[in-house]
Amino acid sequence: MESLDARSDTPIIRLTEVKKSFDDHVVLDGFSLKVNKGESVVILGRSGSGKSVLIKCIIGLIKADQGKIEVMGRDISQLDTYGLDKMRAKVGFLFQSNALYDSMTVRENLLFPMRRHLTNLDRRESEQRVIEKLTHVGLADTIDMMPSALSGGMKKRIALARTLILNPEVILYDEPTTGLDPVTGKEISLLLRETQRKYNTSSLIISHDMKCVKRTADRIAILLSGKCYAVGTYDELKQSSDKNIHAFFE
Amino acid sequence: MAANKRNITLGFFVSAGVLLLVVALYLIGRNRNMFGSTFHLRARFQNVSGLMSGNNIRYSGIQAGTVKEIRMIDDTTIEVDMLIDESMRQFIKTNSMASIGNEGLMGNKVVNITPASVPGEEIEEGALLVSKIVPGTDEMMGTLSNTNENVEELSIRLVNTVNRINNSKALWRILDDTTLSDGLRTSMLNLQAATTNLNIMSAEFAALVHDVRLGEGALGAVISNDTVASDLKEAVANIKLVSEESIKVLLRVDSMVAETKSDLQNGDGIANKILNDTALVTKVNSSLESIERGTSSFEQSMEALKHNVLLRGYFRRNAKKQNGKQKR
Amino acid sequence: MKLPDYISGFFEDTGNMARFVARYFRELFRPRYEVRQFVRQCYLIGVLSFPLIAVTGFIMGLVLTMQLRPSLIAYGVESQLPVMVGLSIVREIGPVITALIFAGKISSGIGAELGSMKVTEQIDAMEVSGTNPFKYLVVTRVLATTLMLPVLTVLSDAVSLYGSYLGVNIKGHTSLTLYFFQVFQSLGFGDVLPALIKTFFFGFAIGLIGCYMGYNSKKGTEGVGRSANAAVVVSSLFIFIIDLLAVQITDLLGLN
Repeated sequence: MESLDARSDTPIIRLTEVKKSFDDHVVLDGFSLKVNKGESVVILGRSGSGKSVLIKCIIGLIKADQGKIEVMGRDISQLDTYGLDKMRAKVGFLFQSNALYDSMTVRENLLFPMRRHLTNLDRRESEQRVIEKLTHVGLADTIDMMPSALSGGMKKRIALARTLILNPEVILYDEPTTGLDPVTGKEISLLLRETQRKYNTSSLIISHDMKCVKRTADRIAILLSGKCYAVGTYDELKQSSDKNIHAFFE
Repeated sequence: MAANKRNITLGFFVSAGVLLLVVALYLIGRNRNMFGSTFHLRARFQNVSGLMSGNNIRYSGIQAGTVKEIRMIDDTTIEVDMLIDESMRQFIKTNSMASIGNEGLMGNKVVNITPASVPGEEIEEGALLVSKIVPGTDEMMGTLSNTNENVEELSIRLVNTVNRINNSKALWRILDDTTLSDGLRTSMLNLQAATTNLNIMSAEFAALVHDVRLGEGALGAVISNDTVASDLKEAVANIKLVSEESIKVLLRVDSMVAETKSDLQNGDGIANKILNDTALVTKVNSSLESIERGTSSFEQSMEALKHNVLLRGYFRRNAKKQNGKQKR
Repeated sequence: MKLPDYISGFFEDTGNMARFVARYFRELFRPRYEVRQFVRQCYLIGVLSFPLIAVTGFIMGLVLTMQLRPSLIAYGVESQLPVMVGLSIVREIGPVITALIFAGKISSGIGAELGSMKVTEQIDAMEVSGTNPFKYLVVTRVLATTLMLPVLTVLSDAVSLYGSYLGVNIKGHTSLTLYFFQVFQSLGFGDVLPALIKTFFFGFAIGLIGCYMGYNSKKGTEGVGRSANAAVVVSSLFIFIIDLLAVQITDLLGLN
């Protein structure tokens, strides 16, 4: 099998003319974007503009109608179930609603992704890894708690720990700060940045929270009318005279 | 550890369910004699009245087994294959009898095996039991309704008879008439006397017969005497002679008749004279009339008889019979 | 020609459910098998339902006996009380009442659980984690309901018969041995086996409809409630439809 390790000069994610519509409603209408290795890209867009759809197309939860989605150099539409699983082990996904399993403890939640992947680890090694990721997010003492007993910010951290458990190369964040108070939002944003540094991951973040965007983004892509309207750094876009772009920075 | 405890509970739960099911099936199976040692018996019936495989078999009222199979042997014979509990084998003898009965009023059919009153041999596997036909309710009802009809007719007739007797004046008169009974009594006395006479006569006759046997008296002489026998022979010969003569006479008469016939046709001769004599004709007529009168008076008396109360029934029945015959 | 919405909607649901069933059987036989999760679901679905089902079964047997007694006395067949109650419990009331209680408890539970998992993206998260959520959630649950309901029915029948025994003893007297002897005397395989076989179908329908409703739950908390409610209503209806079919089939097979 060909190595999934991308060379540094190839983009870790490349989207080319991706189209997706639900019934008559066109959500993505030819979206193109590149995410380079080690880079953190934020996709900025209004609610309902199709940001979540786009990110779920990348992980293969939603099938794009047209266009090409390449993750680490492989077209995901060509992958079978096995290949898709292999790819997903390298791509972390942090859900907007955290998606912690209600019926499991924090430990079981973190162990869950390992039951299919990393099956070579024994019980002690997986335990160690769980503790390591929990320590990284600062919640090692919650290991035996149920998710329902945790606050929103704690849930987000646990969810991040679970996303990190397989040591992914790229993490997709679906609105990581939405629904959190500003202080917690700031903490999470900083945690995202730290994670990127510590585990040397690339990030694709979806958000409309400008504080979070400012703290996390290397580059920003603006999603408008199903297309990639503009790409640039935070400062570049802030100085833009385009009123559509300017609207995000007010 | 918690998961382990759960698994144990689950295992206990499932085992309990399966065990109960197995026990239930075993109990049902035992009722149907599917387990344990059994042996076969057969019995043949003309009518099994709705017996089905799985029905119970009772030996003197004790549960002994179940019906395994029912099959037609030919158009009038049905063979019932029975599975009997092995423990019953020592009690069932070859002369035991099988019959089909009811279990309760509306219940299932059962095969009843009843022991015979005399001791018999122990039964063998697959033996054919003698079957006893117990009248079913249908047959019983049929017989009953027949009996009913008969009883009804009898009672109607009885009522009629009683009525007739009640209404009959003649009968009552006879019954009330004291002279009649006196007469009857004298008749009886006469009869008695006659009987005594008869007795005397028969005694005398017996003596006579005795005498004849001994060859005494006139008849005895006739029978026992040889000379008489030869005389008889002679007499027979004479008779023969006479009969021959008479045949000749007959032939003559025959020819005479033929002559008379021709005379009549020709209008002469004695016969013609007789026929033409009017006085003779009136005599004959009057005698015919008197005969007629006699007949009609006989008829009248017959008619009177018919209307007689006591005999009316007899005549009526006669008439009915004749009517019936004519109709047929 | 365009069909009215409720008609086209009905056929759409029927079609989706048929696909769901087909997918269930595909995933059921294809490896990997989620054995641990299956055992866990058996525990949650089977063992934890037992107290509820035992209580309802007990009351059912007791009440049925007491209700039947006057009618049987009127016909002078009071001695047949154990037979009547035993037959009704084993043939019909045991399986159907157990299934309805089970549907109320389990079908709605599954509908709500899977519905909320769907709404909070837990199902997506599973898929992303390399676990087939259909296998992990649906197959294990449907298999568990299919296998646990017959076990529950047998246990419930036993408890019902015991309740009925007590019911007989309230106004009369009989020994437990004699009572069970009378009951089993009247029972045949034709009474027990069809009744048992149909409970597998009841269990299958209950699990499947609960899973279908939850798995296809609409977004939002309202969608979860709707799924739970629809799961109970539809699975209860299905129990009676299956019961109707079962009686027809056993009749055709001459097992009645």
